Amino acid sequence: MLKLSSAIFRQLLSWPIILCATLWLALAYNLSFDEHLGAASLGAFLSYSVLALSALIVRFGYVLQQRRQQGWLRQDLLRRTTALAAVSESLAAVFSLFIFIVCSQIVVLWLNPPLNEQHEAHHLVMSRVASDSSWTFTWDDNIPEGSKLCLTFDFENSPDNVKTSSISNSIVEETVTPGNVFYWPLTVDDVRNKTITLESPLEHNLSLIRPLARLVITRPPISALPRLLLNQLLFFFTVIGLCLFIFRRLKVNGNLSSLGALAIASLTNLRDVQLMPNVGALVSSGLRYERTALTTNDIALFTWLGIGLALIYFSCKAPRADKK
Amino acid sequence: MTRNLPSYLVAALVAFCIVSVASGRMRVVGQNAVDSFRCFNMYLDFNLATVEEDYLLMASLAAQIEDISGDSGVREFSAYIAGYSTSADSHNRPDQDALHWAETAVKWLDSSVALRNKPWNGLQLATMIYADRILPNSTSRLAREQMLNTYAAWMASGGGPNGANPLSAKVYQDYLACPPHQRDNYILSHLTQIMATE
Repeated sequence: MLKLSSAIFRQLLSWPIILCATLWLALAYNLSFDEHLGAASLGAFLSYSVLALSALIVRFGYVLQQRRQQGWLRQDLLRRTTALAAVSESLAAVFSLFIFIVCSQIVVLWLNPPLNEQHEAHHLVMSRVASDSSWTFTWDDNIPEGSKLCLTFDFENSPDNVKTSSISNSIVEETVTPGNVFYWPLTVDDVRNKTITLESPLEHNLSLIRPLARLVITRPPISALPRLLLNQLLFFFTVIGLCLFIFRRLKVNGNLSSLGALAIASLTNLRDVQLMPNVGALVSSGLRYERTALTTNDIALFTWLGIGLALIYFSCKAPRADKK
Repeated sequence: MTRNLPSYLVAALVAFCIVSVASGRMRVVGQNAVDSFRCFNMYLDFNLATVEEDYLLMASLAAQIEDISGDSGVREFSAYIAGYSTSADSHNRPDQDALHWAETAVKWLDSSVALRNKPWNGLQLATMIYADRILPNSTSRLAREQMLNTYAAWMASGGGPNGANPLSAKVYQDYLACPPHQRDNYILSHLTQIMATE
């Protein structure tokens, strides 16, 4: 099986592909961390990394199709190694993705580029007035734990003797001072519920300046890169399973299988409809990546990996037509 | 037909994804890389537009950059260049032209307060443009009201998360200590002080 794996691995990562990957890595590094024009954001680098991994999946589909045309499947059958052949294909694909991720990680951690100096990012949050002295805040994404609300209160109509006021939910109360931005740390429950209602004493007559309400989210430090890249690998593990399943069980062209696998994986990002486990955050990237990065819950993650394992298992079983 | 059915289904799925991406209902895996690259290029174009003093292009690019990356600084920078910096006496700009661009710049800032990730610096900038570039050349009562409201909001935030310091909180508390009918005068005198210092 190892020999088979290494053969497929060499076919997957041929010299031109290695050269392209190296060039892509250099380009991604410069585009992400360029001193003057780069966004100095890990998210940009992660986005280029996701694109490279998607390209490797497409390459994997192409190699599968090549192997089918070359009759490898028939030869594997003659050697009674069909099941192992399928496993070796997935092993080779996972290993090639793993190699790319390790290289990306080494490059960034070794060169240690300067990241955006501001370790906190501000994001929009929807707010509405629930009553004269209470406000409800909502957001769409699964935001990371430790996020907080950043609010500005107007004291113009407060009675003269009010020097400070308080903001509370049903459990906690915090002091708010005029002329200071007020931070409300979100609890795990708030983050899970994606909503929170805060209120102030009615007699203090505070008003929230709603256009200035923001969510503050801490950007992951550079030391979180290995974990972020590992998340990408876990995401693409199931994509490999999908690709193999479509190719071997449904007998679809390899190139189309890889595109289909990427399309199905993209359904995790479909708005308003939950067709797949909520694992889109595994590949959170781009210049606002901190909003969803590292927020995948364990149940969704293990369901996703379970789906991947099941797909690889089913694609390992020799197709009936090939057994003749 | 039956034999090819899975291929048709997969092709239909890929087509569905393309349509969903086009309609904005879905983001396909790897799409963020395209956005990151677009943003990098827009920064290049923005720099070029700054050199060429093409303010409208700057504002348009700033809005797109902000949409992709959440960087509010570019919009504030374009408003600063168009409405404040190039209206200084040293630029010998005609008064009408300066007034036009100052009004345009505050429009860019005012209309995007709820959309900018970090609106606080823009509030202060808008106030300065009103006070230093618009009101000396215009008798608009609305502009004066806008300036007072904008500055009051900025004071209430203490200058925002990065500018928060006991001094700015003190300014807002002094403002609140004034009787309501004297608060506008407090802001005006405070702004006069700031501009005299600068």
